[in-house]
Amino acid sequence: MYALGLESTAHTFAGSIVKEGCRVLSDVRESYKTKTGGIHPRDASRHHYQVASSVISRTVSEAGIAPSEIDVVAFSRGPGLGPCLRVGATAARSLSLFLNKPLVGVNHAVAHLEIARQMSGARDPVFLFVSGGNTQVIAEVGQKYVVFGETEDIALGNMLDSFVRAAGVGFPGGPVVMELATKGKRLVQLPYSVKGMNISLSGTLTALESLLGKEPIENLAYSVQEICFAMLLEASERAMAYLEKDELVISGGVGANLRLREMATIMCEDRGAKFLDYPAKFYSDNGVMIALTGLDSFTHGDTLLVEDSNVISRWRADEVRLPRGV
Amino acid sequence: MRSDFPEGFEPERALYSGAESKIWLGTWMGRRVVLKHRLPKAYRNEELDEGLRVSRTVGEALSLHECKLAGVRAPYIYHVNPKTGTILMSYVEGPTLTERLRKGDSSWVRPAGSSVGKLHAQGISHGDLTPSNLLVSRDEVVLLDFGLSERTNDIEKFAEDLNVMMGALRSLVGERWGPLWREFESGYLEEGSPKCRETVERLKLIMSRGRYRRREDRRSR
Repeated sequence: MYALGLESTAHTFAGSIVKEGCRVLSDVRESYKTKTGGIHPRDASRHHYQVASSVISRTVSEAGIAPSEIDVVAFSRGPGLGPCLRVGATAARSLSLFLNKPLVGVNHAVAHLEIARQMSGARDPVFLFVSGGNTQVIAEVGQKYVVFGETEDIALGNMLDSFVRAAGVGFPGGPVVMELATKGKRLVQLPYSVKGMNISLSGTLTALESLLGKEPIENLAYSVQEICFAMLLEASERAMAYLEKDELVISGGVGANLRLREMATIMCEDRGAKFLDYPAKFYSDNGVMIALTGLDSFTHGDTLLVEDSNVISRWRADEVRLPRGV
Repeated sequence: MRSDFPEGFEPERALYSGAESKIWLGTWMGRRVVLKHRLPKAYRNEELDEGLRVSRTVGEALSLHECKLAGVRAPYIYHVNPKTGTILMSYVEGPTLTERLRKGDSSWVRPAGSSVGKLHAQGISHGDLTPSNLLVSRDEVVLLDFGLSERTNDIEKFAEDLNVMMGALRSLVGERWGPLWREFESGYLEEGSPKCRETVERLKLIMSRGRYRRREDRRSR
């Protein structure tokens, strides 16, 4: 069985075809980039319109199957930027009607967690979901993902982006900070705010911005990594202790940071647990995760009629019933 | 790590291994005691780790002490060492509020509310206010685990405490949480502290915020 998945929640328009058993046949991505960083929803959606047909035809040709062999068309239905979501949704609806194949709407956050679980081989982990727009500590309870902790204000990826933009040192935040941090020498005092399994990042950002020009940027980058990642891992470890789980996986774009994964490895080793990793390219937004999750939903009969396939720009992972069991 | 233990402490067994500390049961000078040990975290930058362990150990000890000034029972402190991250305190025996409620006994909800009211009026937020951290011992409510507490006058912190307690009661007793919450709240407001009245108002505001409201059907085309 083959599933085609389309991702278009934010800066990336991506397509993929997968086969059951987590086999990836194609993985095509096109990202909207700006000189100054940040995403303008309308400009991003224009970018998606322009690349959509090329991404879709490459997705099919790289997979080496005929379009008629596709069994289901999945798209990310939300959460995300409305104008961007609607490009993916429109393309998916057209494909579904043209190929006469069922349509499946996938929750983007759930897809991040599902690909992390399947690719890492974890059975029942605590998830640290940390990206541009999300920072949450999640675990599966009774056929649902439950958010046990989250940021009370801004997401970590968003915070790193704001920091590098204020400093004027390039874009996007994650890779720039990781590179600068390797040359950092001194730990700068920044607010460390963990409240049980929740964290707060806006105070840390304000403090960072006030230090720009007074402290070498390398030291600031080093300190923001050490302090914010420690906050994330303390919240994750508290969830592991509370829920008595012995596996941790990370999903979302910030997971591509090597220092974060190194710290996760040490934290898990020290408590006799396992940090389960998988190829870094699947941390960031991609079509594979949509296709994989869409395929599972399809096999559990969770399909959509085109007329009911509106996008949902605000849609929490804990509002979704998971494709499990029969 | 045993070298971090205070002199004379004889561990019996580990009670709990949390995210930041390990709790030991044992004896010291012939008494039943609990040792809370904040272990160094190898994943954390050393300087950051030491700063956090020292400030949290000291903060927790101060909160435990100030509880008594408010007339709220909490474990007695026998020994504190910020360098090793250890607090040695009395062992309090008794069922938790959670256990009482599971047995259908809700008579301790109002006194629990009253203790929390006194704590807040004194300017201490608990930080992890669940029924499992409230004990009933010798016919008195005892508050436990001040690891996340803060000495503050920020109404928001107090309201967060109540929000956690409300959520915990809800998940513990299901639909019967309403009457229980009214009991708790009447105990909480018993002393007539203006701070507590303001906190109850703030709780309503917190509950109306997007993050706590569940969005069921907000859709866009």
